[in-house]
Amino acid sequence: MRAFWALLVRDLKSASRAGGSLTTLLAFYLSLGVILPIAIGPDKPLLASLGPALIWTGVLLSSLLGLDRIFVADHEDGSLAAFRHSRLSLSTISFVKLIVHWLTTALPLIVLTPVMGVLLTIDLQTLLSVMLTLLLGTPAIAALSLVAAALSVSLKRGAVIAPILVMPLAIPAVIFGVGAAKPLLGAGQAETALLYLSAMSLVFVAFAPFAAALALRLSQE
Amino acid sequence: MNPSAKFPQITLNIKGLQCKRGERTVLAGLDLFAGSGTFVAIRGPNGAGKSTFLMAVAGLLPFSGEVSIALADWDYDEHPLHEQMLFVTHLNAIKPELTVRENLGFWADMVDGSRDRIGDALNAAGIGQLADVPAGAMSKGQQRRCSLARLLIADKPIWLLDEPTSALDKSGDKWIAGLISDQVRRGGLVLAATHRPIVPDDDINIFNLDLEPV
Repeated sequence: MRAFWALLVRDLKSASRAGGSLTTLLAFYLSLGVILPIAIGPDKPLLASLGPALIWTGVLLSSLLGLDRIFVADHEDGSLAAFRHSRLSLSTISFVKLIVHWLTTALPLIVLTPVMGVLLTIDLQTLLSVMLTLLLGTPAIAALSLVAAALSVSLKRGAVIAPILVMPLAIPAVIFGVGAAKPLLGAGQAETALLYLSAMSLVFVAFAPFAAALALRLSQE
Repeated sequence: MNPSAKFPQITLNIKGLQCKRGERTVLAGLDLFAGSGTFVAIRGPNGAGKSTFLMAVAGLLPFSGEVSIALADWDYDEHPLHEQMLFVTHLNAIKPELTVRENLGFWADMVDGSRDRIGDALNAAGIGQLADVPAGAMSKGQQRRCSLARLLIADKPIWLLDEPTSALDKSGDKWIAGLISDQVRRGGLVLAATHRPIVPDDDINIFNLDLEPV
């Protein structure tokens, strides 16, 4: 457990001191919130009805920006090789990386979502349900990002390829995420979508660290 | 474990080690037998496979042939074998945004070392006064010293060192030679790939492994 916390604390400290990348992430997310209403035009009801879909797409795209931070630094400075003789297995290390990625990418985006709500003129009820679906659905996206980051860690243009790997796989999460947040869904349908979304997150989070560990092992050869 | 205690008996037995990087064969049929209290100096020109050899022994590369490492009277369930090695690659594995002390504290936790020994390790490395400086603010040589100080915060019987003296000055070379001598005297096993010769103390058992490009 000592090594587990040490890695978690180191990565969070490292992320907070390196700075910059979180600001970039949030600025990108917010600029989507500024550009989309301009592109769609001054049709408020249309904008509000598209709201959940726009927010989910925004979160998905923005979170991909943080993807190359997951493993690249540790690969380049030799930490990843040194981890092989440490107390933690590569899958445990990947699990810690998943937690850190979610905390430093998805969580700040969710916290900033009310601002997006104002920009996209979404009512409070819808905003709250979008935030709930994001909270339940982003772990799945983070898990997919983890595997993609591990697969592309030793590639020169990994940061470009990895998002393309994630996007098609993230489609189910987006469908259920947006579906559950739609204001005019029939009774019970929103709950079902929420359950599917949560199940997806649980399954992806459970399997991703093992897949990532395998990918890391192969990429170091 | 106290820093002067002897290590258990180690045997490293390598038979017909073959290793490929991509399509290229880098090591072709290499044999080595070494045990406790030996310093194996891996020598050879660039591209001779020194790093590849270390990575294969460290278990980071697939290979054909046999590499067996054994510790006498060892409880492998309690202390897995891979945790008994410390591999300092040509990369330093330190985070520039964290302080020297934080970096070493992290590695102490990761390899079951002791945070209490960080102060002494840094003094020995000659960067004791820089403990609270961000590692990125130090020179290349000082960063290398910080990375090598990892050897002193844990008691690992097997050291794998890839060009440990790169970026180090004369006093750094001497420090490394002393470290290796102490480790060997304690019954440890040190494998080091070196360009510039490392000259440990006279009473140390040295085995020179000369590699040639295949």
